[in-house]
Amino acid sequence: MAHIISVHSFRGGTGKSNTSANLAALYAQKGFRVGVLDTDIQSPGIHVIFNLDEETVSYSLNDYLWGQCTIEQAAYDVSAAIEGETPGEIYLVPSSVNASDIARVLHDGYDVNLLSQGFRELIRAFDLEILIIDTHPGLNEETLLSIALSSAVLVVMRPDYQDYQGTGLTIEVARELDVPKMMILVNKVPLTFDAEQIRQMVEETYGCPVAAIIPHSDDMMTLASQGIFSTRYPEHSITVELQQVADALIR
Amino acid sequence: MNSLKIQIKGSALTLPVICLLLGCFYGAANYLSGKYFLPGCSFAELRPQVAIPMFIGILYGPLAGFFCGGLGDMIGYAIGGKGLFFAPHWSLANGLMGCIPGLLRYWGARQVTSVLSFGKLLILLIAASSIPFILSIGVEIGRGHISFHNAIFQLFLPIFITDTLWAFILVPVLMHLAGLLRIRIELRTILIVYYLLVFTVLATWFCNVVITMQDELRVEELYTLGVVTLFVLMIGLVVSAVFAKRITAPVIVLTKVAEQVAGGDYANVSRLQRIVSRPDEMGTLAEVFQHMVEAVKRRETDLKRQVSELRIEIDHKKQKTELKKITGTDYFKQLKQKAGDLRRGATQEEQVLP
Repeated sequence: MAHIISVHSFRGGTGKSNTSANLAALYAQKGFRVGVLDTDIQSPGIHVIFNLDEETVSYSLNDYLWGQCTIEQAAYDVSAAIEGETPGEIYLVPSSVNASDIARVLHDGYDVNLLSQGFRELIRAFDLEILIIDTHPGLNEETLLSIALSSAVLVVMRPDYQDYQGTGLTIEVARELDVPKMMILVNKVPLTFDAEQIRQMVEETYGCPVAAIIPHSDDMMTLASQGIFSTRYPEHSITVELQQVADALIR
Repeated sequence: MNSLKIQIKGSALTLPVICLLLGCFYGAANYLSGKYFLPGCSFAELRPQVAIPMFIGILYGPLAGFFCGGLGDMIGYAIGGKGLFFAPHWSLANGLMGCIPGLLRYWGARQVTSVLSFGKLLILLIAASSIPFILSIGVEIGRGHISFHNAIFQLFLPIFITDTLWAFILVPVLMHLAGLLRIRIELRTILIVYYLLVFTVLATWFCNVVITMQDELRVEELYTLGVVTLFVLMIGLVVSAVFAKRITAPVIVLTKVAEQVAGGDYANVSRLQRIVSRPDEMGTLAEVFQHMVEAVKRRETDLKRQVSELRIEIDHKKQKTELKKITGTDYFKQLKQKAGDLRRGATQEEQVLP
């Protein structure tokens, strides 16, 4: 049984896609066969981090959801984007960046049930051990579905007033859905903050374990999504933290 | 000495008056010391007062030094009842002796702060103790009063050695008192060696002088001399040690305060104030450190406030309403059911598989 991990944040801009990509890379480096599904159909982006050229994308998740292709046809091997020795593999199912496709999703919607079928087919087609779902911010139907089907949910938040309420709601919803494992990743924490204090405060507030406190990093900002941080800087303290998160999610 | 400078500004006459007064003092001292000739000499004496015209020269310029030294020498003769113009070439030499150190200001070293400027001072002090007397002794030789050999060994060298030693010991002290010699660490390091050596030379020389004065040296005198030599050496050592201590003492205080600040204790930062007032590199370092501590303290206070302001506030009532809105839908109920079925299915599947 493959691990399905939803990486979610209530608001955008928390570094959710980056976290998903880094986790996928770390798993692949450990030898796992990993799938990454970009369900952020309204504002896709994770393909940029994996250096997947939009021109080469003939089918996307959108096409699958509209019944125009199989999920297998919409998956691309992006293992080459990882620096260093990678015994595992990563298959990415991107969302379409085509503006009319995005508009059509917003206008017509799609059969959400097809998505859960897609998860299973993708896992079977590539014999995946781990499937990471980069969800859409907020709590719409496909996000709820992703969470419901997950074996673990990682909620990414920033120490920001705008994130507190939504994070609380996400966690409550996930609890209702009986998700077996749930963790919070506090991201982009200003260096002046005391990590331990934040960890305590977050765990107390949400009653949910904190997987990591990731400080704001100029190195990461400089990389600007043009590559995968944890494989570019394997010795960096942030990479070490992310490695622990990766381990904790499949433990 | 600052008050002296202010007086000079007050009246044009003040400077000549000071020079004259100190010149009189110099002359009187010459008269008194004139009774104690150096061994084997009929004219050269121990004259610590040579430091006066030299110092006046440094303080007020070559002309003032010349006036003080030359006039002072003449006054000395006058007090002795020999008349002002008893030995004009010697008076001239004494004038030059006050004049030469005054050239320091034209050599960019009136304020002695570095080893370089201290070196310039010592060169001028050596010149002031030698060149003028080469001239006056030359006159004596020319007049046939003394043979060349005796002029060297009974006149020039005794004068040169004693005057140089006195100048070396006293002029830096007087300059320091006048604020013209700022003991920064660079200079302090040299002064340690300088005073130790000067006192060692003094001790050795003192012994030799006494031994030369005795026709026959007795054992008691020999050991007394040994003790005196040791004593003089000890003074040199103590002076050097004080100089050395003054370098390390502030470092120790600074280290202690830095450790305390690192531990978040700012109570003893005020102890730095005494170091800050020092004119040397340590003073500058302490001042910079003090500024740094203030900045760190300010930043820490800001940070503490910022972190204490960090609170995660959740409107639980609002959350409950929103949660109900989501979980109340048919879709959610179906989803929950389906997810439950899937999970149970998965577990069963896992159990079935070997």
